[in-house]
Amino acid sequence: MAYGISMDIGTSGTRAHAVDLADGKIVSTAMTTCHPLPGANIMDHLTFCIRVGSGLAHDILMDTVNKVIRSLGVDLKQVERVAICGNPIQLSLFQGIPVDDLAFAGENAHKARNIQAQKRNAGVFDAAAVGMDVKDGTELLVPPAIRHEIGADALAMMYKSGFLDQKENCMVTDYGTNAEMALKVGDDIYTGSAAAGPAMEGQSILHGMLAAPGAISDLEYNFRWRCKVLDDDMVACDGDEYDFGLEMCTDEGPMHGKAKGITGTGVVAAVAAAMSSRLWKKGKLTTSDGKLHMQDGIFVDSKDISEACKAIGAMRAGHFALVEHAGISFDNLDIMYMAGASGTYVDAVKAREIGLLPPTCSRIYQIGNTSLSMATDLLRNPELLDELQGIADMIRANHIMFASDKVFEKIYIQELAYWDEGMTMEMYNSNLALDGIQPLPKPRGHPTVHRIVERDIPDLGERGLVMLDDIGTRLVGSFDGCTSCGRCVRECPEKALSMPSDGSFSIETKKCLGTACYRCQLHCPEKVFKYDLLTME
Amino acid sequence: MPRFARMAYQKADDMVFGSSRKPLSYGLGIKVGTGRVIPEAKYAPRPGVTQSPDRLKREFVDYMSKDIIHRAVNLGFPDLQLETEWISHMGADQRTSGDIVSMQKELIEGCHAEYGINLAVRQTIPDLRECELGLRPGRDSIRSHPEQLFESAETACSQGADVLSVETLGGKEICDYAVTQGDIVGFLFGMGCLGSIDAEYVWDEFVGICRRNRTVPGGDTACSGANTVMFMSGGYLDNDVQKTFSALCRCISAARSLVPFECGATGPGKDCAYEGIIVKAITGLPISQEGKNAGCAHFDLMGNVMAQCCDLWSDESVEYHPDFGGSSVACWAGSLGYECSLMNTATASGNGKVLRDLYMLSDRVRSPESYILSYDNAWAVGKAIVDNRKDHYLRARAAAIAGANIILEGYRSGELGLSRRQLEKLYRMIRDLESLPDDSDAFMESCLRRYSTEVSKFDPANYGL
Repeated sequence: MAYGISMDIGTSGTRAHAVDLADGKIVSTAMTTCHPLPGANIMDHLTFCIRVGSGLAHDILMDTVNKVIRSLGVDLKQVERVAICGNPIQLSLFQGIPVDDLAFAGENAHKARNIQAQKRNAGVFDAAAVGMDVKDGTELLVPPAIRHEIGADALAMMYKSGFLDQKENCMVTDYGTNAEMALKVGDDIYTGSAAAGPAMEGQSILHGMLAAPGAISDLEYNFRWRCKVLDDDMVACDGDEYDFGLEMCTDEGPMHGKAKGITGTGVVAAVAAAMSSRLWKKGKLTTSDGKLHMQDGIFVDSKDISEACKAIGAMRAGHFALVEHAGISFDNLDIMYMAGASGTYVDAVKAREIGLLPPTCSRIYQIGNTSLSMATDLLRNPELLDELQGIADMIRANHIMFASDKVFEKIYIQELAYWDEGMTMEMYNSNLALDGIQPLPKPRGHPTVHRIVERDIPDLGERGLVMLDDIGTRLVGSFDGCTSCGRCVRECPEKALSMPSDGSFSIETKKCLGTACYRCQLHCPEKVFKYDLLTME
Repeated sequence: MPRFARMAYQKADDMVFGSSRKPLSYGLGIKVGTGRVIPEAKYAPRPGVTQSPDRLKREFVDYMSKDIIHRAVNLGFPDLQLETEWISHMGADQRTSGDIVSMQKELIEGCHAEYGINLAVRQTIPDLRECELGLRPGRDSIRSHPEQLFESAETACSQGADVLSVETLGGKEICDYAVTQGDIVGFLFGMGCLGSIDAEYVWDEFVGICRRNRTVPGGDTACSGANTVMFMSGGYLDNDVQKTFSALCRCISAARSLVPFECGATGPGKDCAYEGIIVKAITGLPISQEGKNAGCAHFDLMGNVMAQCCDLWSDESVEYHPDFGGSSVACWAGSLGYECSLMNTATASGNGKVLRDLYMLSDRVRSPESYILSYDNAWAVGKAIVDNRKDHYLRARAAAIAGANIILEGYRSGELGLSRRQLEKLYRMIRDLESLPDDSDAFMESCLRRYSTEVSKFDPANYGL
């Protein structure tokens, strides 16, 4: 029997299918609940690579990849083909390609550092050679990037959604920690990528958790807000009902007592509820204790909402910037495709209400994980690789590098002021008008939402799903001059750092916030803790 | 449709103004039924301005709404609710109406941000349906008023209404006839049965519209029937309608005004027909009531008693004009706010029930209407409704009989005085009500036969009958 493995390497996790190559059927599915590299978003991962070295980053990622494929439950010696998809940074890390050209934006920055832009064309490689635990000669199919910054995952969301065939103006976004987005106006495509952070996926949230039994996945409005809690079959069932304005539970539901945390989709609903109940003012929840209490002790606080708002602001600014660069009015943008797990499960109406979708979109399609889906298509039909390269070559894409884009910057500044400082939308629009940017309309009407797939990964295969929570990658090391005072361990906000014995340290990489934090290093009283000198266990 | 099967209040004495079993929060910081009574100001534009959409918008927003809010801020009131009762032709001009709703929303957002006052706007849309043309969508091919009713609801909610209300007209053709004939059975059929059927039809749809737009479905009041009776019943010099008749109309109307809440409305209800105290006793939902501070539009013998258990205290259709103290709407709003302040101070000082009883006792025996609406008697009428909840007819009839017996008992005990005519009317109504069949189908059949003949405008098809 011959198997293939398709993989989507995302910023907050890796998903893989084992596929029977004889009939193309999915046999099993495995996924991780986090990325193994330290950090919470793509910028953290990039910074880690630049500071610590992409070799180590590649080793850490491959360690996880191999754990994932081993958990698929097929004999890896029988694997004959692998197809992957993901954003350019993740695919580069996977393939061991330098990422400098992605880390530094602009020609000047490249010239100054003598950086060569990498070609990320479609290709067939040796999976074993990049470090996968498969037999030598196993084909590795890598789909093309559209341009060096517009990766295969962006191509996947455009290709799988129907976006490319749509005649009307339309937008597609892969909602994830790193949100890929594209706007099509006529034959022109405008793309961008917003480092939204992990809040939309329930991470960096005090009671955040991935979708699992006991997770509050939504708040349903029926003049008050009813918690929807996932039961053992992952069905969202009625929990308790709250009037957040009155700060009181108004009814207990059948799932009372069973909530354990809140998912990213639940966080989106909590933001919508806080906004709708007018409880978010100047960057703070105005409830008596600054918390939005749900059932069973689960709550979101101002910090959680603020994290979510930063992600919302980044995505809205991204969408807005694309619309501005395309030179169209929001009134001429009606269609939205939402990809990724968050894009599939989130309540699209609430998402539009809080700004995760352009406010004028009245036709919304929730389309699932397009990245894994396209990789699986490739596995079944390797000739698709040429077709994809042809499509990538044909796409007249204008990539907007948000990090250096003035329009994005102006809009994002307004977003921060709106969410965190309590600036009104009128002022938001007035400020943009000074720079000749169109006003952001209010959401209007009631959009029609088409959920094209029931789940982000519609087919898990007959053997079902294996979740890998503990991917077990650690960085270890010791430092000359260390007094073992333990301050670095105490300062670690994520409890990722431990000191198994005096002077030796171990960091659980999946928990570590990496370069976004570095408190261990910053608080070392002897100034000897050097994160960059840690090595893989 | 599930019907209320239990009293929200286990005893009448638990009811008091400012507090409800099922409080609500909405708008910009408004919390209703949590201990504080909130003034609700209503206003009407000057004659003449209605001809121009722009003048009408300015009248509603820049003059009336702004004047009221500024007066409330000036007088230091912490909360204020506005109620825009759409004038009739706003139902046919959705664009202007929508603009008024959104401009009011923008205004209150600005004032809330600037002054910190808690604000909300109730939008009460007009029911222009005419029974001769048809009450349900598709039946009125001439003016499309049924379609306009639902369109108005959508417009109000989508443009930013915090609360949606309406005064539906179902059964009005029969009620009007019954009032002129002093026919309590006709009123029972018109309001208790047809009014309930129509309210259910309308509110099933309205609740969905409200849910989609996150607008609070406030409820309905039997204004077109029961308020009319009350106005005709008037004071001591008026005898167009006997006050015992008017009192029972309130009981019957309460059974009808429960229906929107059974469809999912959450309150705060409206109470132009003065049936709200009975509804509150059953539902525990907050209610807006009118009495002495609505004297510009109401005339009745219940000015104080209506305040006994209100959650919002309201004036009524104050026409905009200059007065010595400022604009009329600002002056009336000021009087509302001061009354609320008195109630809230009573609550804060532990004297809430004392003031409640003073309000009630000062009017209790002024008329059979105020007697039946005194909170203890109103609770008992509510209990009769709940105990006979099987259908619209049985519970409305039970309410009327319970009300009649309470009035008779009050008279016999010497507490309540009745004129000879009032008493005769009461006896006749008791006899008529008690002789009605217990079988609802038989009652409906006989009424359909009778009123189809006697009231030419009545078309059972308007009610799906």
